[in-house]
Amino acid sequence: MKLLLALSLLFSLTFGGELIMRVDGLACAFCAYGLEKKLKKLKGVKRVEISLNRGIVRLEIDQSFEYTREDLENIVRESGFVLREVRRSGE
Amino acid sequence: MKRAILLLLALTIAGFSHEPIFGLGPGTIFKGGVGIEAEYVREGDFRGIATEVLYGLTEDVSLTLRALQGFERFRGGAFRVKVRVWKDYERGRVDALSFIGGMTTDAVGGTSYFLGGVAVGRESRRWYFFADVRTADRFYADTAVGIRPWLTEYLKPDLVLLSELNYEQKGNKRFLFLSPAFFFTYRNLAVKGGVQIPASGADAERYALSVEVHF
Repeated sequence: MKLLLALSLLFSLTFGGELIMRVDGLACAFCAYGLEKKLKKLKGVKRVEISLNRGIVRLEIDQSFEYTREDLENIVRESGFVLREVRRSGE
Repeated sequence: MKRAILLLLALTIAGFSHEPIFGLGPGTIFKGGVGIEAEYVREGDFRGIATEVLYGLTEDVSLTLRALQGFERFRGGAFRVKVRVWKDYERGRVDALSFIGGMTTDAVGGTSYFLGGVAVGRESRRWYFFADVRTADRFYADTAVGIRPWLTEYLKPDLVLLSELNYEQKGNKRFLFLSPAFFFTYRNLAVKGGVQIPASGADAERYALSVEVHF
């Protein structure tokens, strides 16, 4: 029960502002294009920065928009990668 | 006969982005992604353009339509489905295994063949490794290793150099090629090329040079 509660809390967390995502599988720029394209389609996304060598994606989202971790996981998965971690910048 | 051999090869290869030029890899395009490729193909006195449209049904299932137009006449078409059935990720690396199925039609000879195969590969920031086996009108087996000399970041030009070993067998005829190749990408644009140098059983080089764009 506690596990279910913890999981539901985890997935209900929402993110806005500047996010840092750790994405696995980012091997080449050509493949990462799909991720950039899908992230830029999100409402409120102002900037996407991808670092292949660090496996990091920085996302700047307008404060009036928020997305859950599950939202971001789905977008990253449909782009052919795996989201390992997401946190607000500065945390 | 040689032209028929080339036709089937040209219809059967068609790699995707960071994959071998003459062999196949397990890569699939992102869900909803569209890729368009135009490839110049040459062997002996044959010249042609292969055009290909790729669509990502899901991130693990890609559909491909390919047509080969010789400079003199239409040569044939192919339809392929690639299904990625296994994948493993870590930072800057993905390992994957895919099954390939489809059909190719030889417009000149009026024959059709089923395509079937399996491809496995590792893509990482520095190294690439691929292996595949396929059957159509013949049996194909390919291996490839690639290296990215400069670990350039996203939005910078990106070059990968490849060395392939391509084996083909049809009845008693066996062909072996050593194939240097490259792919150069800049964001969603890729330029790929290579030459198959006969090592055994064949007497003519094969050339391929293509441009691919993803949307």
